[in-house]
Amino acid sequence: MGVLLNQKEGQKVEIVELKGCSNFISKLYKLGIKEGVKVNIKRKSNICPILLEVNGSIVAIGRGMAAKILVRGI
Amino acid sequence: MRELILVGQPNSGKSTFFNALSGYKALTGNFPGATVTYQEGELNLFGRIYKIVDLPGTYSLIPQDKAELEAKKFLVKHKDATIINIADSSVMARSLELTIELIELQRPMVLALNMIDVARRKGIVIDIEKLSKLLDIPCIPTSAKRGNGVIDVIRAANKNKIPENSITLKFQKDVEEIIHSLAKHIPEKAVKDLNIPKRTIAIRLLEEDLYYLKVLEKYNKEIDLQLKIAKEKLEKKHGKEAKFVIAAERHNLAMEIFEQVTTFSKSEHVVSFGEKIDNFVLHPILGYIILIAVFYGLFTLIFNTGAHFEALILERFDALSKLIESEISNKMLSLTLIGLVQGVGGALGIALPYIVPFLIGLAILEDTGYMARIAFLADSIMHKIGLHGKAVVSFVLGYGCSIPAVMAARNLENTRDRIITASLSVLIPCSARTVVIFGLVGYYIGKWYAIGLYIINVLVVGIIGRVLTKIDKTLAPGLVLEIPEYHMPVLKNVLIKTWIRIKDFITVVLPLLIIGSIIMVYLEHYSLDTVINSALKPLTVFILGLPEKVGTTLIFGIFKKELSLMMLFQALGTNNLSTVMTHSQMFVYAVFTLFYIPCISTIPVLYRETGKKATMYVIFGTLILATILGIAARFVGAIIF
Ligand SMILES: Nc1nc2c(ncn2[C@@H]2O[C@H](COP(=O)(O)OP(=O)(O)OP(=O)(O)O)[C@@H](O)[C@H]2O)c(=O)[nH]1
Repeated sequence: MGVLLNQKEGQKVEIVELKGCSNFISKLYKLGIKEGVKVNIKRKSNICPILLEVNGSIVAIGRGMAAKILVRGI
Repeated sequence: MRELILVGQPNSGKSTFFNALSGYKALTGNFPGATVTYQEGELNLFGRIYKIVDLPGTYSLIPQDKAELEAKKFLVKHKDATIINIADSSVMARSLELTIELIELQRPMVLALNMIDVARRKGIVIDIEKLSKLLDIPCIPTSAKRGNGVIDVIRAANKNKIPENSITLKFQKDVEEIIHSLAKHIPEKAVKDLNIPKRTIAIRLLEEDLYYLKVLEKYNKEIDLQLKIAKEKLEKKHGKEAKFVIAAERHNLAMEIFEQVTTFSKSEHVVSFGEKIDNFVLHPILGYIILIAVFYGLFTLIFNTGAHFEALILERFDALSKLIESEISNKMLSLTLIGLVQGVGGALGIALPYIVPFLIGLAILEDTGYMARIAFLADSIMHKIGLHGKAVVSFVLGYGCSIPAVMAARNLENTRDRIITASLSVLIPCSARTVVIFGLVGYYIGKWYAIGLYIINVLVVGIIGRVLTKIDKTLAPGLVLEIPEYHMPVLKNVLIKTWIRIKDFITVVLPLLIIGSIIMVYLEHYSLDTVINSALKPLTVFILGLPEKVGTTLIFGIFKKELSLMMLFQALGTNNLSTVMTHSQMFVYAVFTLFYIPCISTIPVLYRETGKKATMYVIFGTLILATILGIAARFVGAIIF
């Protein structure tokens, strides 16, 4: 278990918890990023946002936000 | 007349769908409201007339910003309209959540499964009949880009099918019970006025939908208490805020339906062509190189086409003003006409040749899906300013013209980001200020000084941004952005988009440009320039150390930035500025014009997008900023020149 920001490219993880204000959570929910959802980490580098595959769509998440998303490897 | 409303998530192909009907459309207009712009058209199909409205894309009906609230209000208020839900079938699971929200409204509805071609390519097979049964609405596969299925959707809309199955679309039992107990307290009158079922109103209240909270206030104060009780119950049982409980329920429902109706024909994950491109485009090093190359190409193209047309058009208009001057003896009439001709000429000759290709380029960047990738690449840099990736679009546009730059800030979710981005974007040297930078500094002092000015500008924008985002500490939630698939741009879409934006420009800017030009002509004619020059003397001569005569040019510069340089030649009565101005003075002058007050055409747009207060701050703030930087340039100039 750890935050999304610390995961590796190519890993498959399950979202465990979204820590942050309500506004933040709503924003993620709208794009299908919710507790229990499984996502693929498509792309991760040291500077760019993190690219996820969520139920067939590709979503970019800023690094600051990725630090507030708790995930579990599967 | 039947009314059809298109509702869909961003990038679902709504605009493409709307435009695909243009062969049957009699009228199209767009309504630039305070916060949302939507398109409207009149359709003539099977001997019937329809009104069709394209609302801005939204992920959910629970509004999070002003634009979404407006779109939502529109939808709720048009009770008799048929909803056409455009869903991207290649990302069905997520699209279905909005579909369920729409079904909750219990209005006549059709679901268009758009991008069916993309879904097929990805190996997603949808059992459309089953989906149609589960949702109890007509579901039609479409490929809006090719025009496939579009007419069938309208035909299906004629059925006016209201989804009635309340069994399949229910949440978990305990959640339903809480919803039900809250629903009991909703006054009949509200249900009737809103024309929305009780259960749905209760759900929306639990989701803290501002719109319903406000409407319900009118009827019954007691509901507040009931809502609180219901929310607490949900929170206690599920361990998270009520609104997220509901969202999760809806998500589960969508997933359930998704799993029942879709199968994958390709089990192995094949790397798609788009992903292969992204390996380069989103690469942490190569991506930036490609980005720079794309912009370099775009700008060269814009400047080359722009310069070509500018010369061509200005020539005609100059000839026309000369003709008026010699042919019309009535002074008032001839002055006014000359002002008019110069205003229109300025718009056609200077603004349009650069803005039209720029907007076409922009529409192509958006349509192909590259714009989202630019935001992705720029995110870390924008974070240094305190903004996030999406703001970069405005800054990029700013190099062309401040007007589309300010308008593009609309895409940002929160007000703080929107205002800061719009305000900063006017500091970016637009093509008109490029004329001053290169024509004055580049030409007389040297190319590297001109490039230096660009670098200084970026630094100043960065610092100001940093300061502004520090002052307003509202937490910026950061970037969450869908990266759409690559698409071949469709010419029709690109042209329609460009036309809509140009129309905005013409209606807002052209009248001001004409009035400004007429005033200028009169000023010149009655030699009021000396009055202005001496009034501005404290600033120009004492503070900035410039020749007194530059005063009027700065006023002209507010009308049109490139005019300041053109007028400088006129005001100082020379063709070679180096005989009347020192290098240091030129440098100071360029720095000042680079930063001071946005041009008269930008101000109303800024006002519309950010409001009165922010606009005032920008006007006075930039004036102060330009003065301070002008003084700094004077000192630096004294040392280096
Ligand atoms: N392959 C394919 N591409 C499509 C289809 N419909 C739309 N597109 C493409 O998808 C892209 C996005 O379409 P738009 O119509 O701009 O999407 P929109 O929903 O209006 O997006 P917003 O303006 O963000 O609301 C464009 O490049 C279209 O050409 C389709 O059925 N099949």
